[in-house]
Amino acid sequence: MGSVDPVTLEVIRHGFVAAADEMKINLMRTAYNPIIYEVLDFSVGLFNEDGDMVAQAAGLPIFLGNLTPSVKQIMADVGVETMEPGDIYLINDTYSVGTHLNDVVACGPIFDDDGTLLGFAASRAHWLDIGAVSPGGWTTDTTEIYQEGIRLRSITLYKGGKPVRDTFQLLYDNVRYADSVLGDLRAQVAASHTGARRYRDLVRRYGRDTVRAAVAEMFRQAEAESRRLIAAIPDGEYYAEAFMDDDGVGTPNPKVAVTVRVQGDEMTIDLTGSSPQVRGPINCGYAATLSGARIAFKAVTNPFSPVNEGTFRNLHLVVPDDCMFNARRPAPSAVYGLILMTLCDTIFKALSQAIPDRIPAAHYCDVCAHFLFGTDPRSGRPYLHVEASGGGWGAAPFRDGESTLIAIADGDTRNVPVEILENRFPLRVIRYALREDSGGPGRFRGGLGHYRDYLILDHDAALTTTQERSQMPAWGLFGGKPGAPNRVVINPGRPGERVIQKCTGLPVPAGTVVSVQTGGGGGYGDPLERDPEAVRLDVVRGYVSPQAAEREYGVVLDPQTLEIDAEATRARRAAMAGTGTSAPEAPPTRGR
Amino acid sequence: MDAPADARRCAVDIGGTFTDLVLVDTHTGSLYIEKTPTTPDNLWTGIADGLRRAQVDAAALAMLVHGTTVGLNTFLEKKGAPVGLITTAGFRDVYEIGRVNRIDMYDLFYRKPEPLVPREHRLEVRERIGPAGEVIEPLVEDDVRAAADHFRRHGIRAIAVCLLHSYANPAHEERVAALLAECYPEAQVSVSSRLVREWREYERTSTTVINAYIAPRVSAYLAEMEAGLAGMGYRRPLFIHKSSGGVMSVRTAQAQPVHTIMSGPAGGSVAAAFVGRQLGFENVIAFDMGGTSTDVSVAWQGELRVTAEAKFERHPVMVPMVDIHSVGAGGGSIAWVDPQGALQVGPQSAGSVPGPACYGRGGREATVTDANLLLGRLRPASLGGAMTLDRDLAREAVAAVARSVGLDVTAAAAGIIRIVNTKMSHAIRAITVERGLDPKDFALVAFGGAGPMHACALAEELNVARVVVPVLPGAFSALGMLAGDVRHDAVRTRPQPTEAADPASLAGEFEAMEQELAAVIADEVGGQVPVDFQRFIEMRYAGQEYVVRVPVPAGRPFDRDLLADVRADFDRLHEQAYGHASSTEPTEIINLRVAAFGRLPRLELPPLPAGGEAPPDSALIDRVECIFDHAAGPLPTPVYAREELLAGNRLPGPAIVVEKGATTVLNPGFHLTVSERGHLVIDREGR
Repeated sequence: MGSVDPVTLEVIRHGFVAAADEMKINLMRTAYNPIIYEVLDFSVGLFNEDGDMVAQAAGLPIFLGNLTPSVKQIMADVGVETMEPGDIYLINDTYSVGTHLNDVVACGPIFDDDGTLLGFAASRAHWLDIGAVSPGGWTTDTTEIYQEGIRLRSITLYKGGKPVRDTFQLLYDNVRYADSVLGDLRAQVAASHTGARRYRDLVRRYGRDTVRAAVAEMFRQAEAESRRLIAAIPDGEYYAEAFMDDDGVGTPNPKVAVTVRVQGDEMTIDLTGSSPQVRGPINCGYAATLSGARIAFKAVTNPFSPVNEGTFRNLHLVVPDDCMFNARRPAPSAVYGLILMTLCDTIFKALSQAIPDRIPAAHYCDVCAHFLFGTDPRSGRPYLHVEASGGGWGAAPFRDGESTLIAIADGDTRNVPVEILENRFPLRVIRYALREDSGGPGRFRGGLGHYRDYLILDHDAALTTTQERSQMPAWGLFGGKPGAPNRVVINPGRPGERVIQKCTGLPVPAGTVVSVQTGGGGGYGDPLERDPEAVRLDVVRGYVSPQAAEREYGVVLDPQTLEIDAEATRARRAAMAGTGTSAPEAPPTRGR
Repeated sequence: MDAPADARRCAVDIGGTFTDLVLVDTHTGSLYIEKTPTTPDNLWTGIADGLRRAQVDAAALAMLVHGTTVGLNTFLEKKGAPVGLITTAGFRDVYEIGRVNRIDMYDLFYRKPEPLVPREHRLEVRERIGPAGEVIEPLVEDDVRAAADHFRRHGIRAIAVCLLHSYANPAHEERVAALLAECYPEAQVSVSSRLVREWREYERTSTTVINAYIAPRVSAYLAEMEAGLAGMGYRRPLFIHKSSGGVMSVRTAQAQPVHTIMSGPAGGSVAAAFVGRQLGFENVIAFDMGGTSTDVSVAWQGELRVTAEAKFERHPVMVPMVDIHSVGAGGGSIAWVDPQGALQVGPQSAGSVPGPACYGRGGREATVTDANLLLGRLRPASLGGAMTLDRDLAREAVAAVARSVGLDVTAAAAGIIRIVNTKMSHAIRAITVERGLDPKDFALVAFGGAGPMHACALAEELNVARVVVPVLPGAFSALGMLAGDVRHDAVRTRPQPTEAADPASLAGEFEAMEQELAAVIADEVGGQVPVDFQRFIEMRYAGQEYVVRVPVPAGRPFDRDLLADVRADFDRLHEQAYGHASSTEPTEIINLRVAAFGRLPRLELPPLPAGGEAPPDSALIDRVECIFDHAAGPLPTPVYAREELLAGNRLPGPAIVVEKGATTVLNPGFHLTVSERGHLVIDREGR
């Protein structure tokens, strides 16, 4: 092992971070599907020869933990001694890499000029389709992984720089929209090459031993920083639990149970007590569960610094064998992200006992993905519109929650502009607006969700969607109340109106209005302590209705001028405080 | 314009601290620069002062160009006018919803940009236009009148209008504007389709709102300046420098102030391209290193790279701007040791107050400038003589950092320089390598107070062929403002498969845009100037999102063959930028763009008297010990005064060239030649 001076270390660190960023830009700019370039449902990373993550640029936080297991699985399956320059391998196997089958990792080894293995460049991207029973996957009712598409485990895509025909043929014949999916795959391969080139540049410039020493030191420093930050959290055992609506096929209220143990500079997240593996597709592989734990860990330690393998060395995850957070064959897991997001919020809830001033109330907790698909009557070709929706975030201990932001599993994920969407798809958006009264009341109010209403034009389409957490919506903290739940309403205010929480391939004929209504964030603190002036402004702005102002906050406004009726407000608040109308609600207790 | 090409031109560039005034008179061969302190409370006073101090005879000026920060500062300081927004019914919240993304994805307290229009002043009108520009629902005109009443009642006079699909058909937006003119004539209305005819409703709304927000202040300020100049006898049009690197009239700037937002920095990019052309370098990296940040941009084959995807404090602005990449690294950047024990430089800066430790104004933290001073690259008296730099204070500050990372003081100083150079080189990589351009094909034009000090090291780091330290490196943006043409851009979003596109109708669209732009230019300069157009088609592989901007060859009939060539160029550019391409994959045309240049008489810089290869004796003013590479130790280094150098002089590295406001460091292994017009052209040995 060589050594590295602090200056060269810094130069190399910048080099790795820049290399990962370059891979990200490369992938994003050449991808074919909005799920990559708008939703940013991908991540890229560089790994050392042991498969440990040196640098990562994630489109989504949800991929924080699971590229490393992907690389290590490929190393174990293929054997590094058989690898050569120009190889690319694919893996999407849920039970090794945690996520649903649509997330396909392309990984290539990086070799020095003399044939020594330096490391790996990998990218994970959400494929528009992976051959599931329903277009696009994201099925809500599958009961076996075999219904969710093809599994790839350490499959060779390129050998020595040459495409493996068998693999391409297999993919081409087994996924829908194959041309555009393979376009995305090309972008992934190009990103791997970019990463490999930058890695080799660094090694050529600074020497193999120096780069190795720098990587070891980067890991050590990151670990030291994580330890320092965990040590600052009071020792203790903090428990919280939450419930999902269901598993999509009838199992009611799967439980998410979290014990966070902080001991000195170590943190353990223990999911003992969480629901066993369920029949429906909400199960989550261990590696993805690890991502969820890492998101929460990162958010409460050092949210802004780059990550590497060292960052999480003092984080331990305990998951029982039979647990929906530890999916085993043949458990379905098409919508694995749902319990992951609730896991994050539940970890935060547990930690709110330890560091109440650094934890917000819960957020809407589902990306409220919706897929509209059918055959475009203009072109006669099949189309698929995929969108992740923003919703309300929880109020902070010091201010209101933010409205319509993407959920915690996603990050720099963007909506699809209405103008682009209407050009591409036979759909018209007739409303995209904030959802009044969806923010949980509190001294600080939760953020608002939205209405996004689609009109189906001139053809019969189908809808797949998940809208989780209707029964236990974003909770408040310390007296704050929950936000409105997520839902889709078909034909709101019209005959045949119906509310949907989950569906796969639901027919939505021409003329149907599909209204995606995302939930709000939870409130923080007693709503009766909210500044009446802030409530008045919320009413003026239409964030809160006059009725809710009175009902939830005890603030009475003149219906004409919207000025505060001070007298009536005092009386109303006194009465509410007396009767405990606005007292904090106990979390619902439900059996498993 | 019939002004003789050799007339006097003046540029005024307002910065945060100084207002730079550059006067070029090729008739007398003079190049004059005046720096006056910026007077933020009344900018015109400071400008007038500068003009008087420089003894500018306003009546004799052929042209005056102004780079203004009023628009940007109004936005940054949130001192704009109250704005009302009119949107399509059902969509008033697009502006607040934004793109729903969280850039800092682990931040539980992430904030979106604060809307500049609160929700109660975002009003909806019933109307709907479809993606092909078809009217789905006619405009309900009473809704517009009701909105006007609301705004009047609330004293809101700046109004932004952004309706869905107005890029495809602006009729409803124009009708709204006409109705507002009728029933609320005092209002100043910003119409989205007049600013940008491109899809993406959130970004277009944000652009329009910012325009409305800054318009009243920018208009008033420019009116004051115009009147003041007239009072001093100036009789020519006052030009305002645009973010895209051209100039526009005051009238246009008042209606579309959003085009001024990067007015100043764009000047530096234009100047770098100009100097590059003068020296015969088509590919130029503009490297502007100041006290707190470094701005880099690229001119490729003589043309500045322009983008329409800029953001200011996360607010998107969709109008063309020189593609400038900024990084928080400058002379004042502070070196520090993070909790993990790693040596870091920036992005925090000591600014000008207290400034680097060596300024002796109370700064205690080590900065890049302190490191340069310790290494001997910066001379204690080199900041224009006004201030003496204190080496002891610099040493003390750097020593503190050195101790925490276990290095000696010189090694730490050299390390600080290396780290800041790494950051800047990554910024340059981001605008070159990441876009498929190889820095070795470029000349690095270094300016700003600190740029010429770091240029050689960066050239080595990036394998750049050549460095240029131009004349006036300390007021280079102002110089660039004199080198630009009148520039206006147009865009139309016209999504269609390339294979099915009708060349005649595309040609018609281009011609219509060109006529529009030519009329604007003729109107602005009050007469005839030659106008050149550049056409671009933005394309992508069918289904991709990001487009590649492909130049349309000029001077050829617009037919199927031409489209086929554009398509082939697209494959080539895609391959260059992203490493792969497929000539069999179907493509789509997304946007048509035209850049129109009203050619103003060419700027000529006065020549420098010629000398031999050896510099005159008077130029050598000192000899110092200077460290370039920590391992190699100090080297004896001659110091030259730039104003004594003559055209044709050659200097081998190591050497230092000092002038007012800048120091050029010539590393060992480089040699420098003074060009005919006084630029320092630096080449690497053996290349």
